[in-house]
Amino acid sequence: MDARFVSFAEIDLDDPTFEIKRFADSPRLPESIGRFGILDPPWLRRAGPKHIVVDGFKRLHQAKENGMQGALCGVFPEDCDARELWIRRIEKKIFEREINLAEKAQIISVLLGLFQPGGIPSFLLAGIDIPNRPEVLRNWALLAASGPEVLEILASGDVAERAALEIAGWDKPGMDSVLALIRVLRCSASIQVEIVERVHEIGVREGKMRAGVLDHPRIRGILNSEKLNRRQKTQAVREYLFELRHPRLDSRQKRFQHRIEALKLPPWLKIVPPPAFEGGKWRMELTFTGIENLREIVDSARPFVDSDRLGEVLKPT
Amino acid sequence: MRMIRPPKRVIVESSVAQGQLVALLRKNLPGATFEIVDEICENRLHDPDILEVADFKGKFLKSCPGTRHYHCCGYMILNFGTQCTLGCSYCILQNYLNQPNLRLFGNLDNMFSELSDVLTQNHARLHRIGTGEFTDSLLLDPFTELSRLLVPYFASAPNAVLELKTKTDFVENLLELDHKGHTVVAWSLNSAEIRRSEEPFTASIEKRLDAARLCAEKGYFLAFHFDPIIDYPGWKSGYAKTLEQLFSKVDPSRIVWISLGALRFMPELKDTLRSRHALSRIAFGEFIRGLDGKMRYFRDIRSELFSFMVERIRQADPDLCVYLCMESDDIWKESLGFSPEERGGLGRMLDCALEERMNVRPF
Repeated sequence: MDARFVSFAEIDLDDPTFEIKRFADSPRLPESIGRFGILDPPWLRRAGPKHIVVDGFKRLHQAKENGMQGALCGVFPEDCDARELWIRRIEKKIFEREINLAEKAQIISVLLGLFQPGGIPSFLLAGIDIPNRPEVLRNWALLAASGPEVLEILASGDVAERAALEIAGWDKPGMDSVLALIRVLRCSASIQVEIVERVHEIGVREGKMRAGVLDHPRIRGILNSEKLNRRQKTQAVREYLFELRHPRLDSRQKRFQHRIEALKLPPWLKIVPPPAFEGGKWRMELTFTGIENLREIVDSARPFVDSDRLGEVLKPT
Repeated sequence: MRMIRPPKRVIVESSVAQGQLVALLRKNLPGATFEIVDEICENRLHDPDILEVADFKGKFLKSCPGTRHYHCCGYMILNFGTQCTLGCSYCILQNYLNQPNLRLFGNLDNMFSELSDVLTQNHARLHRIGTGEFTDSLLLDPFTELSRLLVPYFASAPNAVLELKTKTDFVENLLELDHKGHTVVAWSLNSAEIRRSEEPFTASIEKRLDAARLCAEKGYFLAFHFDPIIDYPGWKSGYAKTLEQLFSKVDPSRIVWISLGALRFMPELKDTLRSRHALSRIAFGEFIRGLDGKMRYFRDIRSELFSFMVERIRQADPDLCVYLCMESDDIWKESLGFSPEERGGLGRMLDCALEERMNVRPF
């Protein structure tokens, strides 16, 4: 690689051969270029009479916009090995700063085009924390191919990596609707994954399109509500999806809740069923302030325990 | 069911190369190449053309891997090999074992010697021993003829009963054996729809039942295992039809027990289903995580599945021993009307079934 000044007249800034788009703004870039120019030389590759950009697309565009004539660049010869150049380009990208999901997806897509399955250099995959498993790499490549709108959302950081990989390969309407939902809810990674899995499983089980699972007045009502905050909306969406995914368990839980409410239990006594009503271990929780209080509430709980009313709550159906 | 495709390569550990099993395989697999190796390499890649014959160093007899949370039958597993090529979508063997190829244990002498030790040491106990846990009991029988060794062995063991459990119809070797009422031939059954979608390489339900009838005609007692029962639209008519077929082909008095188990699986199986059986819908049922960590249907669904089956079975034979595989007291009571403890425990229930139907009892 030679280092030399190259004028913009000699650079084809629109050639996307080596482009890995960030899909996110760099707000400090115009000011930095204006103040200091380009601090770190971009990379170019000779292409006939001109040069194409290998690394530094945004900086070069900004510099040209700022009225600069050209920049000091590192120039690779035309006959240099394209694969080697890509490896350096990717290594530079992942070495310099943390990359976003859209960049990761594009990098994997490029690597799958350059190497046979299993042949991708492990240091590159380790550098972006991606396991060298065919199904994982395939999912990243599917994300890369899912269009600029999706990549923009991935770049925004609103979508967790695990959730993004779950939706790789989904049909476009399904992907769009679940991404839109996640962007509104801005919930944790584990809840995102739960939502994505539930939408998928409900869709498969009921033979519905995934977008159709979310295209429901109740979901629209939750998302458009002005009374609910983000956390409450997330909870309401989860409850709705739980009802669809586990209709019988949900109905059993509601039945249990009605029965408990009908009992009008004192506030210091709580009956807790086993998780998912599995197994026979029910719990009775007593809240007390001291030994005397405990004796009192145990005495007053006894008639309830001895009565048939408790059996009504515990009955299986 | 046509016979399975014979293995093309048999890889044999040298220490068992002169044994009886390898001799039988050489006789029954004339087209196969036999490779003798010091030790079979652990291999993560499945090759359906390979059959491995290893020198097994562990214990051949193990207790059924039940957990303390659910009632277990107290069955003993005689482990003569591992893996299966029937390819059922829900099969736990896909995830259980890091040996993907069919494997038999060639040191049969050690197996029979261990068996004799256990039966002699515990001679006052009735032993229910099965071979269908880590492989199908009869899948390779046309090539191994193991049944010709096992059935006569148990015929002379007064305190033991062998249960051969299969989804094949490979019973030819059994038909001329003198079993003396100490072998139960058992089939896993399902609805025809589930058989087609989830067990496509197994014998059809009709063929399994034809094979069962043949065995009954030869004096064998039979058992049937509806496991896994799967909740799908139309399950009632599907399972009712299989039960109708069963009782029309087989005299219920020849059946020593029927077990019922609803689909349950380790959570990891979900990924396997997704990658290997993409069309399968069985993992999308209403599952919860059970007390043993396995995914199982929400209890009300299990209870409904079992109650339906029990009612239909009792219509055919009210005295037939029906039991639930890996279920808790409350599900037993809802489905069968009693808990195993009320009858001395599940193990005792099954021993009684053997005594009553087959007249087998320990010393």
